[in-house]
Amino acid sequence: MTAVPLLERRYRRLLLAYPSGYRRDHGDELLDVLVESTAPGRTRPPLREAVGLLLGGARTRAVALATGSPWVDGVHLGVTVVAMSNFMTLLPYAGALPMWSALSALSVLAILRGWIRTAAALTALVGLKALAVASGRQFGEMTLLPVHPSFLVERALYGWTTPAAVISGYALVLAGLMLLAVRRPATLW
Amino acid sequence: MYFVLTALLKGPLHGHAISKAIQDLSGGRVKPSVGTLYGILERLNERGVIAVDREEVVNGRNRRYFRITDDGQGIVEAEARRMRAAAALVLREAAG
Repeated sequence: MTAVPLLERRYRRLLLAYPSGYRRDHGDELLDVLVESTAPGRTRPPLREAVGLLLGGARTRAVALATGSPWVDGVHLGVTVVAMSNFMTLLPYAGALPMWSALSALSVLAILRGWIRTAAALTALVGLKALAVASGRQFGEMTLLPVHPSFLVERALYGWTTPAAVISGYALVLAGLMLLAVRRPATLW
Repeated sequence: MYFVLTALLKGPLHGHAISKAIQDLSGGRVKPSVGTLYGILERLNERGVIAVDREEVVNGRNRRYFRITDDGQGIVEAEARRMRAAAALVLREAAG
């Protein structure tokens, strides 16, 4: 096996500006053209080629982000907002419910990253706990009810709402995630 | 873009050959970087102005040959006629 020439290695590093899908499909093709069109003996890519690759990569990334169904991206955004609001509701009670608040935060992260199954499992779990707290029952670890806030607000958790309203927030996220499991979102942010 | 389409009028070419043809056609004035050239090629391909004619494997690497489509040929010829008409206006005055 021969060592990969320095010039090719440097071009490969510049090609990282392109999204991985494009690199997989056409990276070698571009690399061939780049090496062929560079004066023999050069080990450093010319500045204009480097700039061209960075701009071309940025453009390709922008195109890749803008493709895909706007409908799917809309569901993803909606699910993110509702999940975030579920989490924000729990946040002032994080002192009394540390594990559940952390799981809720993880579910938001999973949704943002597009880990649909993980997000659905976490949302279902936290949703069951939320329903239990809202309807005065126990689920999972024992929790002293009502749950009093540690900061920011004065009322007990879900003291201002009904169990049906609480569970509908989680059900909405789960329904959205089921749609996204069928049609994966293109945009991850 | 005009040069890319003009270069492809003679037949399908791969990226490096298109780049060289553009330099020849423009007398060395136009020399797109590979990133710029492929940006143009992908865009023209998406719009159906050019198409991938075939893929060949050279040294274990894929190489796409692009050809101009009927749409693309129509566009570049219409542009050439437009420029000829525009040039004729000026040249007629100058000869006047």
